[in-house]
Amino acid sequence: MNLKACSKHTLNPLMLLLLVLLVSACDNTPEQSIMRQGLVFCSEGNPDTLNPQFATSGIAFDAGGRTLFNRLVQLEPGTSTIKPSLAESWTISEDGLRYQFTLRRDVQFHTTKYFQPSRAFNANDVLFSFNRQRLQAHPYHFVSRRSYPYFDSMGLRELIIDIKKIHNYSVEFHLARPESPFLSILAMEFASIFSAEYAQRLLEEDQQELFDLFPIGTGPFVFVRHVQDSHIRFHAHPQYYKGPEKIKYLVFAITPEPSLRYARLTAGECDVMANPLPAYLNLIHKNKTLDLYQMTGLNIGYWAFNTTKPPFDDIRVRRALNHAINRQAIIHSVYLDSAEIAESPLPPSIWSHHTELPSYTYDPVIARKLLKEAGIEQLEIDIWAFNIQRPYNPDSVKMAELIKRDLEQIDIKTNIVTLEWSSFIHRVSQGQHQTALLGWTADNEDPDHFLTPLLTCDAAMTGSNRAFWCSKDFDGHLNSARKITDPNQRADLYYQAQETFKSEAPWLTIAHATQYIAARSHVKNLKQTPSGGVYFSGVYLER
Amino acid sequence: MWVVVIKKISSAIISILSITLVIFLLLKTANTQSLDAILLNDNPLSDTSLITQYRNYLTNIINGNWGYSSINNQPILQEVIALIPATIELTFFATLMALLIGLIAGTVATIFRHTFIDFFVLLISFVGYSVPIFWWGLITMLVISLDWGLTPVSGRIGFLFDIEPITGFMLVDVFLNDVSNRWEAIKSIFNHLILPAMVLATVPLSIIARTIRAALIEILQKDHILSAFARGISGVKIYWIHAIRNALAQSMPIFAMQIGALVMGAIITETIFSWPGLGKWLIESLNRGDFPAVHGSTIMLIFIIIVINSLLDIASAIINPRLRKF
Repeated sequence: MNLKACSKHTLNPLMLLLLVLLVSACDNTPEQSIMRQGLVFCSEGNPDTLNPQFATSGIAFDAGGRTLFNRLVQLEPGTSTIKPSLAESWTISEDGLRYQFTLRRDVQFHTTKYFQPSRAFNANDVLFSFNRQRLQAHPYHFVSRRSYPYFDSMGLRELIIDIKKIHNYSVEFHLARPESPFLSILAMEFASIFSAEYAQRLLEEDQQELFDLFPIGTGPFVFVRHVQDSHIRFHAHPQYYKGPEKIKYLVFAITPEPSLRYARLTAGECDVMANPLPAYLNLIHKNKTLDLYQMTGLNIGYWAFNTTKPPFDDIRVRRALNHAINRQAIIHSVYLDSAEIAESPLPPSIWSHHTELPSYTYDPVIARKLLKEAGIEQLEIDIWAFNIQRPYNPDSVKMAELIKRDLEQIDIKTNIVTLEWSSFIHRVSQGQHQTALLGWTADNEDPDHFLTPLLTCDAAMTGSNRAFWCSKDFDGHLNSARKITDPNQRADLYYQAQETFKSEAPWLTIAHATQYIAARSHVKNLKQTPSGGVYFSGVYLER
Repeated sequence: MWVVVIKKISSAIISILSITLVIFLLLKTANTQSLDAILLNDNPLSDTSLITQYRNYLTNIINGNWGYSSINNQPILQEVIALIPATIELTFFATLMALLIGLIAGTVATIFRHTFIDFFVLLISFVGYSVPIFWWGLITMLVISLDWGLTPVSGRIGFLFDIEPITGFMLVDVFLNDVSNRWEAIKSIFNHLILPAMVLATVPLSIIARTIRAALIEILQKDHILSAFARGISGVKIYWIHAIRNALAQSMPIFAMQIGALVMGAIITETIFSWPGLGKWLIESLNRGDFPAVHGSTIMLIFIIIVINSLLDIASAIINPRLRKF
C-alpha cells in the first residue's frame, strides 16, 4: 500500500468508506518499515549483567560484550587470526614484555538519553577499562560489588605490571613475563573498552552504580532498555567506526523455555533463535522458511566434583564415578547424537588436543572396586543441575537423571537439585555444591582459554574452577607453556597438562556438542561465534 | 450506608493483619536469611520478643521496606510496582470479557431455556468451568497461534515496538509515548492480549453465565415480572429493566468471589503466555529461590484480592440495599 494507490480513488459515498479503510491500511507503511529494519533474537536467558568484565556466561557476552563494546583487537570470525579493532596497529618488544598499541582516532562512544560524550575514544578509556579491573584502589573497582572472574582467573593482575599512556592515542602494556596468548586475551569480551568520561561524570554526580546498569560503549549497537526477564532493546550506533549497521533495531527477547523459543521462531515473532533443542533440528531442517546454522562446538560439557568436599577429595572416588557413568547413553538420549564423547577438556578442533588420552571405560565393577578401596560403603551425593538449555548441555536435568540411574547400579544414592540459571552460577562459583553439571564454551581457539579459567589454582580462588581442584603439576605445565611462543613446544606442555588432568579426574568429561542456531531465511550474513553465540554486526535482512 | 463502608474497611484491615501475621509466623519458622532485612529490627540482639518483631515486620511492610531481591539486589517493592500494571491489564480485560460474554450467554440461555441453545450454553459452561487453565492455555496457543497463526504466541506487544513503560499499562503508555506507528502498536497490543485474556476469562465466564441464568430464571417467576408480562410490556424492556439488573445485583457476591480465581488464574496464564506480570515473576522467583521476591509478590497479590473484594462488597451494598444490613 502506498499513498498513490490511495489517492487514485474518486469520492462518492461508497468510495468514501473504502477510502477510510484504505487510509487505515496506509498507516501500515511506517510499521512495516520498522519490521524491515529490526531484528528480534530469541535468547536463552536473562543476562546477569551487561558488563562483560563481570560476566562468565555466553548469554551475557551475546547481550553485552559483542553488541555494545569493542576491544583493542579482535578475532577474525571463525579463525584465530588477530585483527586490529580499536587499536590500528601494535608493536611487541623483543623480550615479549612490552606491547605498544596505536589507537584509532575516529571512534565515537554511544550518545544516549543518559550520556552525551564530549570527546572521541582515546588512551584514557583504555587505562580506565583495565585499571578498574586491575587496581583495588581504583574508584570503580568495588562499584557494583562484583568480582572480575576472567581478569583474575587468567592471572592478569600479576601479569600486567603497568599500563602507560604515551600520548592520547598510544598506550603501552608492560608485562611481568612473556605471555604468548596475550593478544588473543585482549580480544576477549572482558577486555572491552569503556568510556572514562562517562565514569568520571557519574563519579561527580555520585551515581557510580548506574555505570554497569546503563552501559556506554563504542560497539555496533546502543543500549536502550533492559526489562528483566522480558527483553533487551538496542538500536544501531549511528557513528559506529565501521559504518552504521544495516539492522536499525535489535531486540533480545528473553525466552528460556526452548519450546516457546521454537514456537516464536516459527510464528515469525523472532528472526533468530539461540540453541534449538536437538529434538527440533529435523523440523527446522525441513522448514523452508527457516535456516539452520551449525558449527563444531568449541565446548565441553562436564560433571564437576567439588574436590574440597569429602569424599570427592579422594582421587579413587572421583575415578570410580568416572567409571560408573555410561556416557554413550547420555550422548544418545540427551544430545540425540549431536555431540561426541569427550575425553579431554579440550575439544578436538583446538590445536594441542590430546588424541590418545586413556579413557575411563564404563564399568560398574571397577567403579565398585575403587569405592571399596576408598573405604566407602554408603554414599549419598547431590547433583546440581540448571533449568535452562546451554550449547554444551541441552538438558542437564535429564542428564542428571541418567547419571542417577547409573549410580544406583553401584549403590550410590543421588539427589538431583535443580536451580534457576543465575542462582545456579552464583552458588556454584561460591562452592556450595557437592557435584554439578557444568560446561564451558571457549572464547577463542587458544587452549589456554580452556584450561586456565577452568582448572588452575587461581581460578579456584575466583570460583570459575568449579571443581576447586588445584594441582601444582598442572599449573606448572600451563605456566611454562605461556612463556613459550613455539607452538610445538607449547603443545607438548598442554599434552602433559591434559594427562595430569585425566589421571586426577576432577571432572567426568562428558561431551563436545555441535552448536546450532536457527534463523528465518530472510536473515543474511549471520555468523556464529566459536562460543555458540551470534555476531549481529554485519547482519542484514532480505525480504 | 456508611456503617457498611466502615465495617467492610475494618474487616479488610483485619484480614490483612491476620494474613501478615500468618506470613510472619511462617517466615519465622522458615528462618531464611535473605528475608532478614524485613524481619529484623534495628537491634536484633537486645529485643527478641515475638510481638516486637511482628510490629517491626509490619512497620517495614507498611513503610515499603520489602527487602531486596537475592538475585539482583533490586528493592522488591519497586519491582512489584513495575510489574503489577501488566497483571492488572490482563485481569481487567479478562474480567470485561467474562462479564460481557457471561452476561450475554446467561441471558440467551434463559430466553431459550430448556431448548437446544440452553443445553448448549450449559454444556459449554460446564466444560469451561472444569477445564484446567494450564492445559487450556497450551491447547489454545497450539491451535490458534501456532496452527492457524491468528494471534502471537506470547508477550504483550511485538518486540520491535519501542514503548517506554511510563504507567506500565501498555494501552496507556502507547498514547504517552511518541510512537510513529501508534495504531499498529495498539493493534499489536490487542492481538497479544486477546488469547491470554480469553484463557483467563474461561472459568469466571462459565460461572457468571450459569449464575446469571439461575438468577434470571428465579426472578422471571416473581409476581411483578409475571404481571408485567400480563400487561403486555415488551420482553426487551422487562428483561433489561426488571430482570437483568436484579439478577446482576443478586449475583454480585458470586462475581466478587471470582476475583480470587482470576488472580490465581493470572499466575498460570502469565506463565504460559510469557506475560511479563507479577504472576510470572512469582513463579520465576520460586524457581530461582529468590524468597524476598516470592514474599513481596505474595503479599501484593493478597492485598489486591482483599482490596478488590472489599470494594465489590461495598459496591453491592450500594446496588442492593438489602445487603446493607450485614
